[in-house]
Amino acid sequence: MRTATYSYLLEPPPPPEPSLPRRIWGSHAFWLVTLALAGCELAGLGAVVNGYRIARGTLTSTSEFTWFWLGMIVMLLPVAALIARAATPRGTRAALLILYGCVSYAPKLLRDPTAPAFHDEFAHWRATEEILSTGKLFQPNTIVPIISQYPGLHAVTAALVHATGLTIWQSATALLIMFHVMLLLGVAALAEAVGLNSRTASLAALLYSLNSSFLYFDTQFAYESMAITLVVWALAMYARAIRSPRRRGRRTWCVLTLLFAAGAAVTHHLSTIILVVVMTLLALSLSVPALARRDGWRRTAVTAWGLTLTTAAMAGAWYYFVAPATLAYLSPYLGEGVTQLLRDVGGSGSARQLFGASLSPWWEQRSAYVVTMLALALAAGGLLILRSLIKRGRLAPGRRRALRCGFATLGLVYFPSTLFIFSAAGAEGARRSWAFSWIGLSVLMAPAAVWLIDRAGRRAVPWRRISALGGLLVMLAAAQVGGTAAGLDASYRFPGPFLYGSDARSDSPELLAAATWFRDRFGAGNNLVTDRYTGLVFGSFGLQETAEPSAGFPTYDLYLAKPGQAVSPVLLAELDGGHYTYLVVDERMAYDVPEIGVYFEPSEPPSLVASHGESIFAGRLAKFDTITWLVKVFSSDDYAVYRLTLPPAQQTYQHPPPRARGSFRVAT
Amino acid sequence: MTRASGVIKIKPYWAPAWPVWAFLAFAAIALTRWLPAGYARAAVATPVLLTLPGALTLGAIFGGRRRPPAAGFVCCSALLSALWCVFASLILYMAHVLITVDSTYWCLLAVCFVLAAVAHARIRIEASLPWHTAITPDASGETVLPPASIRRAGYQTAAALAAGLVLLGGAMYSYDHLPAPAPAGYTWLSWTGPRLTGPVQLSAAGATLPFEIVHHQPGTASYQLRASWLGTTSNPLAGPLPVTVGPDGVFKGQLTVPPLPRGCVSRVVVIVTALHQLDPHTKQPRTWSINTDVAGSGTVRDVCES
Repeated sequence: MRTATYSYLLEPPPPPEPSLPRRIWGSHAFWLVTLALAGCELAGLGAVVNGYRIARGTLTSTSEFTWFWLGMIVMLLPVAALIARAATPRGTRAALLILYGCVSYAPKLLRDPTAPAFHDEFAHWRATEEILSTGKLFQPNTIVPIISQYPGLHAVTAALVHATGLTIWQSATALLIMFHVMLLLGVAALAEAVGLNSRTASLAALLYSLNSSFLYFDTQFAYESMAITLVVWALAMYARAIRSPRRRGRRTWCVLTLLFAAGAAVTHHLSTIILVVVMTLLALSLSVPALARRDGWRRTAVTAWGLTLTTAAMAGAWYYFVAPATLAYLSPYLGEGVTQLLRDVGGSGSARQLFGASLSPWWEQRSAYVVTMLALALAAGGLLILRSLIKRGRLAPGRRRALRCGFATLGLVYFPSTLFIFSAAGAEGARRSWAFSWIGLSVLMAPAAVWLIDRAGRRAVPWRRISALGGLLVMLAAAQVGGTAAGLDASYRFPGPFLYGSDARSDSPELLAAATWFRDRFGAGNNLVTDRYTGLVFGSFGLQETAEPSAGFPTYDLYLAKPGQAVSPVLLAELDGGHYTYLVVDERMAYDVPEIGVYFEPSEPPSLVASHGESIFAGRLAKFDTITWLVKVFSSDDYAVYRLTLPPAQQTYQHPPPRARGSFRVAT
Repeated sequence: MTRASGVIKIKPYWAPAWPVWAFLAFAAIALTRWLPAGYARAAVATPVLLTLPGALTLGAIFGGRRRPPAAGFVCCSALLSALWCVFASLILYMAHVLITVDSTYWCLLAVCFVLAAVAHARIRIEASLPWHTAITPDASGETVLPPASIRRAGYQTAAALAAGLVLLGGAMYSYDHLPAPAPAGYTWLSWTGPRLTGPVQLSAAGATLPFEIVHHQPGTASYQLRASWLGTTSNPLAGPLPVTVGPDGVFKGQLTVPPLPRGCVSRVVVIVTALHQLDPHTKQPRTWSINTDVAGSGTVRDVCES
């Protein structure tokens, strides 16, 4: 029995759901479909595993891409087809989303099954380790300092470690699988809460999974992976609260909204800001006469604004009292992005080249454009459907219309944000915004997708029907490939041999051994200077405090100094004052240029990466062996550890060197 | 739960009691410490930790009425449980209590007690009201399904979750057991012995500096070991000494340094050269070196000539 007004769009409502499963349940067809689905998921996973197997042994092969995407498509399409089928029961759709949520975590799970691999994961691993070792929150983090002020993910991971005895990484993986599945279900719940039926809502969740952050970025062990799920559920509860007609019912949904919002506020800064912005957008749409005004609209608007302002107040209080560094951390990203984009548009800058240094094959790069085109077409279709519904009086002014229009506006933000991908400073921010704008976009696109599927399915001639439906599936597959390709570079997505200057493939057994040796010999908590990639492992598993290079603390000047050239006394005084006692050097810096174009930090001088492809540090690292205030205590194939004896002593070595002979002895 | 005329009736023997049972189940999580840490304990403790505090929260918020539908209830429970872990840590931090296994457990237990009490009280109060059975769903898109459909959906959801997790586990297992390229080996040279913070003070008999060569490679390797005095020109100090280190072997050695003139400082360098390995960058035999300063006894002189 359906009690809700069905927000079904340009097609008649589906047959009553409860009667169908009963018929299918006892039939052979159900089990055949279930077996076929299981076979597809198994085969798909097998192909993904094979793709990763190929990738970890080769540097330049492209067959791993073919295997990987073959597997992903084989896993996605049957789920999509079953969800899109009108007769599939609501509960089965939820089960299918859960299944897809699980298997779509496989790429990240296989990418780094036993230890962190992505840049931020090292920082979050260390933050969790600090809670476990000190028993306190808010411990400083030198890899990504801001995360110490947002302990949500670390606290829940530490609690799971405490309760289960699992390692940090195992606990984190269990939580991330849960958040990933909940994200998919959350988008479906949100879409249902704004008035879409279960079929359209489930398709909205699948369409959301095409966004560039879904497979990798929002599955990494980082605070945004937890926060995005909380944001989606907060919005779903918000929509429920808005649409709840009774005062008591509304209050309960409001409490849930605020609980999820509070969780987001203590977990991730950007997600909370975007949550407040989206809530404001929805509250505005609930206050617009043409969209919302009908009986009781004032009460609804008061609820919406109340929730928005309370969430903003919680976020503001957290920023003010706990995380005052947030704005300083975030503002450069947006400011530089806009400035650079304006420069590029004005012709005074050089626009970023898309896929400039990408390891992806050409077809993956091309498909990145498909996802934008597909989103544009479906969004246009979604807008036309909205217009048609409004014109035909099937979406009267009120809460549902206001919410639909509010989320549509959120989704449309995606298209202008894609321009920022041409700006080096704005590209990262643009990509991160897509995980949020796609929440609205998927709600907007899903009705258009359903319309297309039904139109294709109604074709009388079988081959035309099959071709049309097949065409839609091909587009879905291409969008899945392109959506992910637009997000992260291949070195992040695939395992493989060591790749100098890549955040996700720069750690090696040698580096881990060096960090372990250092920790065992000198203990934890030493202040040391090193490059970005070495610092990830020394700063996490090594439990050391790595320097944060900046214009005010240019530790890269140590490396840049030519042999015989004195290092700036100001820098040496800063190192001495900051109690920096060790320098760790990756000697490959003298020969290689980093894959991501950064040796230390993104804010380092651009001149460090020379355009001629040769390292600027060539011939400049051997000097460390002869500087009097550096003592070399460790030397491996690629790494050297020096003890800093600061301030530099004025004494000179005996000249000429002694001629006395010593000897070697084998220790017993 | 039974259903009649589209109205959900909650059986009286279960409805008022479920928060109490949930609380007791959460309290029993302490018993999992008897299980070995790791997967066995996780299999029992994780569902409890990541379900019950959230379920009790929903019970306290919604009472016995208008709860989210089954899948929504489970999702909200899991997320709220995760959030309670966060909030418990914040409470402990603000109370200046260290976050440990015990403190986290007791804090969550206290939270669960309060939530269970509120949920239980609400359910009891609502059960005593005359309209408690006449619950109709919100007009917010909620769909009320017959119990058979709810059960079926529950089974399918559980099966999907189990299948998904099994597939993930299987994928990880097979990936882990597929042939993979051997990890790259490495060699290192380092000082051992006491941690030094300045020049090594040489006595009248000199000093002994311990070091080690760690060879983390599958095959045996041959090295040449030597030491020198560093300066504008370097003079030999010891060696050359041929050294052979077996697979994943360690060579522990000592460099005996003769005494220096009083107050003089010099730098000694230990150099290891591989006999059959070339540096991929320089195409020269691969070398490793470490150094340290040594000082003759007495006050260090600024200028010291031999």
